[in-house]
Amino acid sequence: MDFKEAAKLGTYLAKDYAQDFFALLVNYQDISASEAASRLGLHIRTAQDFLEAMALLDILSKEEVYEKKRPYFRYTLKTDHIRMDIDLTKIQQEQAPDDLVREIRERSNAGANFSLARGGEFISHVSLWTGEGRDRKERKISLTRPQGFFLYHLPFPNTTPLPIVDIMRKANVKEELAPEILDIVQLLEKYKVIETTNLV
Amino acid sequence: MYTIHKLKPDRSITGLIPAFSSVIIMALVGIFFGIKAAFVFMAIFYWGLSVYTLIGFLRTSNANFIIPALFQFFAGVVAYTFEPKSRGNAPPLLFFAVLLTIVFLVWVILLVATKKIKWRGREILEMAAAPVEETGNGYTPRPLPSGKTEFSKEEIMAFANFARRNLIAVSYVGKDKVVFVPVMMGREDGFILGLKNDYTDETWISFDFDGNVTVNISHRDYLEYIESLSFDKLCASLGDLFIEFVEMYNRGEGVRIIDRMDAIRISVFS
Repeated sequence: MDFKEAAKLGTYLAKDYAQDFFALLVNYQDISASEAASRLGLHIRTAQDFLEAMALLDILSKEEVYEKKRPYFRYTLKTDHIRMDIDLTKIQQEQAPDDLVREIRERSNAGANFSLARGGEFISHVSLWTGEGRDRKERKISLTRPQGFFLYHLPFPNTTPLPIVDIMRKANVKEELAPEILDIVQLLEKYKVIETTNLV
Repeated sequence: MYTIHKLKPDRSITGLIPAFSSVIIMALVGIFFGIKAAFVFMAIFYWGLSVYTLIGFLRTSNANFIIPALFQFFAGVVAYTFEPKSRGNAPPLLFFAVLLTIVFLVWVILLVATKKIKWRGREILEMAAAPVEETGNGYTPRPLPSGKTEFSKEEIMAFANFARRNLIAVSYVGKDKVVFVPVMMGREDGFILGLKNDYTDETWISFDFDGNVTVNISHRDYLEYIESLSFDKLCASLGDLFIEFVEMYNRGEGVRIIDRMDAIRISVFS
C-alpha cells in the first residue's frame, strides 16, 4: 500500500460511522449504498462515497445489478482483515549521485532572514516571505541542528559557490545526514534563497 | 600618508542635538520663568551630562571620561551659583568653580584632540575596508565564520578589557565567547546606558573559547560605505583585523593598535 492509499484508508476509518459500516459489511452478504444509508442513518451520497473508496482500495468488490431497468451496485466484503503496511523507504528523499556536488550559494537579495541560535555558530530558523499583496505572509522554517550548521557555512551571495558536500564538511555535518540537508536546500531553492550554479 | 576613505563622510548632527535642545529649552525657561531659572536648568543639564559621562567611565574603565565629567560638574556649579542680577564681587565658590571649569575645559579639548575619548567604530570600518578592492554587494544578514585561532580565554578577555578601555569595541562576555561590537561616535548612548542588550543587529566580531571567529556586519554599517564592497571580503577582512589586534595586544603592542587607528585620520567628532 502506498502512502496515498494508506492516507485515504485512514481518513475513512476515522469516520464516526466506519465501525458500524464495517459491521454491516461483515454481517450482510452484500449491500447497496441506499440500504446502508437507511440502516445507518446517513446521506446516500456519504454511504456511496464510503463504499466506492473501499472498493477502490480493494477491500470490497462491487457488482452491477438491475432493479427493473435501473442499474445500481451491490458491495461485498472481500477480506476479513485490513492491513495497513506502508513502506516508508519509498518516500525517502531521492538522492541523485551528483546532488552533493552541486555548487550552491545564497542568492543575492534573497529577502530571507537567517536567525542565529542563542549560542551562535548555527542558524536556528529562516524566515521568508511568501505570496503577493494581501496574501503575503511570513513563513518561518525551524532548522535541525545539522541544517543550521550547514546554512551557517553557506557561501555568501556573489561569492564563489561551493559543492554541497564541501559545505557539509566545513560545517562538520556527516554525509549520512545528506537527505535532510538536501531537503532544506531544495526548499530554499524553491523560495529562491539558494541558487545552484552548476546545474547538471 | 594620505588615506582614501571608503566610508561616506559623516554629516550627522545627532551629537549636537542635546546641546541645541538644551539651549532652546534654556531660552524658553528664561522667557517663562526668569533668567535665574534658566541658569538652574543649565546646571541640572550639566550635572545630568556629568552623571552620564561617569556611567561611560564605569562601563568602559576609560579613566579619561572622568575629566569631561568633572568639567560638566563644575560647569553645572558655575551655572547654579551664578547670580545674573548681582553686582560687586563674585562669591569665592563661583570664582573657584569658574577656574576649575576652565582648567577641565582645556583638558577636555586636549583629550578630544588626541582622540582619547573617541569611539573608534568608524576607524574599524575604514581599516576593514582598506584591503578590499572588489565590489559586488552580496550583502547577507548571515554572519561569516571567519577562521580559527589559538587564543586562550585569558588572552581574549585581556584584549576585551583593552578594547573597551580604548573605545575600540564594546564587549559582550558570554560563557563560551566574547563578542566585540565596534561603536561609532554618536551611537554610544545605548551601550553606555545599558539599553543595548542585543548586539545581533549591530556589526560584531565573536571569538569563542574554542577558537572560532565569526563576523557580522550590519546592513546600516554596510550602507555607510561609498561603494558596494564585496561583502564576504569585507567580513573576512574585519575578522582578520581583530585577530591581528588580539595578536598585537598579546605581543604587548597595544599602543600600535591605537597608532594605526589614529593614522586613518578620521575627524575627532565622527
